[in-house]
Amino acid sequence: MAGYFSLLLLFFLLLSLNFYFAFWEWRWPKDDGPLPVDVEYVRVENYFGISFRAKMKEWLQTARPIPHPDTRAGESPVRAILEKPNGERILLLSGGRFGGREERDELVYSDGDLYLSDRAIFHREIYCLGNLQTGGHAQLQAVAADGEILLGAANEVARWVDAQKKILLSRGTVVHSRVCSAEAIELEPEASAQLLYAPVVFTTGYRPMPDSAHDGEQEKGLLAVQAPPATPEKVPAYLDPARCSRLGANTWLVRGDLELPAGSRVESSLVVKGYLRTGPGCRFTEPVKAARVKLGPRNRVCRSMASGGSIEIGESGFVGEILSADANILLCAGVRVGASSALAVVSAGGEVRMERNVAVCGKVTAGRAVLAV
Amino acid sequence: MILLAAKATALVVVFVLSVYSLRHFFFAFHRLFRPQRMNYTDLAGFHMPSVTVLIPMHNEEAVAHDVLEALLEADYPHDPGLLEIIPIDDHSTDGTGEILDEYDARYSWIKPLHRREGRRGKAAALRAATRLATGEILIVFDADYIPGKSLLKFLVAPFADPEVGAVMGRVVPENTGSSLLSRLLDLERAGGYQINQQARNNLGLIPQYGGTVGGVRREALETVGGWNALSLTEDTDLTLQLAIRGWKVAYVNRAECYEEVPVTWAVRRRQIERWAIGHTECLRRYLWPLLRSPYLSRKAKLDGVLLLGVYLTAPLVLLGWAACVLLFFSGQSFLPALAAFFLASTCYNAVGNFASFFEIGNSVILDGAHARVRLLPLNIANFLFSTLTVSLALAKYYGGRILGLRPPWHKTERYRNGNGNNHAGGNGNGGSSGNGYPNGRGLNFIRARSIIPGSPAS
Repeated sequence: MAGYFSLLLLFFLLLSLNFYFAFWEWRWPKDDGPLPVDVEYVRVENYFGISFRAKMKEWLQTARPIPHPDTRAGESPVRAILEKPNGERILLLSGGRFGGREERDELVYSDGDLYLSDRAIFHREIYCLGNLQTGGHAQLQAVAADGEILLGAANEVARWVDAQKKILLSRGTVVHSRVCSAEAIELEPEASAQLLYAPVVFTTGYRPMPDSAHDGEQEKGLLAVQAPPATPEKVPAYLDPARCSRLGANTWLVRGDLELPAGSRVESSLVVKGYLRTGPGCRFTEPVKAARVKLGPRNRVCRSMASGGSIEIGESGFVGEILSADANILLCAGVRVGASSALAVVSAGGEVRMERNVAVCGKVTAGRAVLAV
Repeated sequence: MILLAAKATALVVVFVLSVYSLRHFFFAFHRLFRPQRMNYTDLAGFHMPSVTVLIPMHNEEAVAHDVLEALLEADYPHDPGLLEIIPIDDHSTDGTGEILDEYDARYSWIKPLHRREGRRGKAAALRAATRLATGEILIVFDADYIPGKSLLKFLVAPFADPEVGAVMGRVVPENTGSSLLSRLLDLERAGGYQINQQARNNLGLIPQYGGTVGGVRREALETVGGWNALSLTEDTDLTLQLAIRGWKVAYVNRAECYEEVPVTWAVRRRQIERWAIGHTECLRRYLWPLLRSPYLSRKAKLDGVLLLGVYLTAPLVLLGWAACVLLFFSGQSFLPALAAFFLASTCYNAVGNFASFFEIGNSVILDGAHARVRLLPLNIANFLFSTLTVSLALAKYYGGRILGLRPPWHKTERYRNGNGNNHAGGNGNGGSSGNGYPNGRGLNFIRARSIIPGSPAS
């Protein structure tokens, strides 16, 4: 009996220990406010660049100058060194060539064009008021420039790159986070990033008017959102009545795979539970979704395309609005997504691979990497 | 015979609760360690179909200004062809109608609907407003919600996927510091959205459209015959109908919006009574169609059944306790009494009760709000209260069904701006005066708090 009561006492002691902390938090709360939700939040794709520029301006006003041997030598582009109240240093450059084999731990501010030497290593952010160019194998933290940014071969950027003008990621360059430009981003083969955002993101070989199939007028026509047709009474010819059903007034659902012959024209929203394959020259005027997609050459998707798996857009294909896949996306040579008048997005949970002469007007983002091949 | 029935009952209860417990653990581990489906978030701002925002209001003069002002600041294009707001004055007897008319006069794209006839209630109001709406997508907010500037973009983004029929955002309690209950509900909501809804979205199951901070594709709504005005929980009703007909419901964790949660246990009681009865009606209506649906996978059907049956666990828990007590005191336990006592209490904590607490604990950690996790053991009070309330509500419901009575619809009370008793407590000049209870904070308070020094917004 004594053992029983001892165990019972022990049990209640342990149990009450739980409630002791809970009671304490209830009566004398340390955290009883609502979870923070920023109701003012507005998504800005180049937020890092904007925020860093603003902070750099603030630091330049609050930091104090300190003497440094480089500034007395007269040969170095470093014209002054500032120290922030927290001890971090900012190198003020007047442009020119900078960075040797040594590693730099200072923030860099340049008011002229800047060239960073081969194999330069910068552990802090760089802000350049002019153009910025790097040699091969440079390692950077993050870069903002008010002019162009040309990153040399096999550079590695730990965080983001942001420019007011064009950005070039040369062969083998890797950016581990965002690349944003107010003008254009070019990727050479084997260049990669996690997210790219610009009025036009393109790979080597891109020609703004590559052929008559992509002229401005035609793109405008493709982008025009048409009024959904009156509810069709019959199953469209390209669908097998035994395997399809109507999901909504203008949406068809296909159980299993669907293979569309060359030149098919799909005028209602389509959801395919299996693999969607198409021949050359097909056209989709309404949104499409399939478990897996492989479009043939010169297909046109006027609105959006989604997949729970992977998507492959065949050569010279076109997507008007959104391309979204849970797995990978492959954009074959000559593919165009979006238009300058209506920015689009390509989003993959895995990888986005872009072949030669591919252009996306808007955003390209991937869970793993966006890679030029 | 009684003892045999008690044993059978205990076994059934243990089995059912074990299934629900495993579900909670599975969702929590999946949310923590498996890849997350967040890709709709990347589409925000790039897919902008025409949208109609519907806001049902019954005597909402204390909060009407805040929700409308917040929507006026939304960064969705204020083009009448793309954005339309229909606040619904549903048989209000306070100043709600006049407030809506003020906005109507100032903004061409705010088009109030005044209802003075017909059935009262949220579903009926939504049904009437949907006839007037012109948007391709219908977004619904309750009147006490305060949508952020980008919320509409986040909510409509998933509709780029033509299979998505409805979208649900995340609800975050705003008045957490008002009472112990509101703090416990804050924990419960965190577990429900941060873990449960997100895991269901990841796994391709049936995330629930919650009736507010969410949207529905008009085409999908029409295929199910519109809002079910006879349902007490038109949101669960719609979720099930869409899933059964092949439409997907998407959950966007990033689409967060503040709400008010009940501050008093009496208000909470009425709220969960309505949910329990509405849910159970849906179980009766949709269980068989759900199991027969050709569009749903087996795992989605299992999730649907567990979703529909969730309120039945409350009376089951009570039955299980009664059976255990009976077996214990009649000496029917297979193990020595002492061992049985400790085994039962350990199992209860580790498998039964603990599973949902585990889910909540993880959600709080994901939200980065570590201190409040200490309050978790007190959630036992919420659990006991809910178990008893739901059991009584279901008893009342089934009793009413036998007598042919329909359950009434109760509106959840508002607290903001001194409106604790849901009387017209507004300050007359609209917006957030902060003259309500200490945490009855409106748009201005939230807006001021959300500006972080150094951010572009500041």
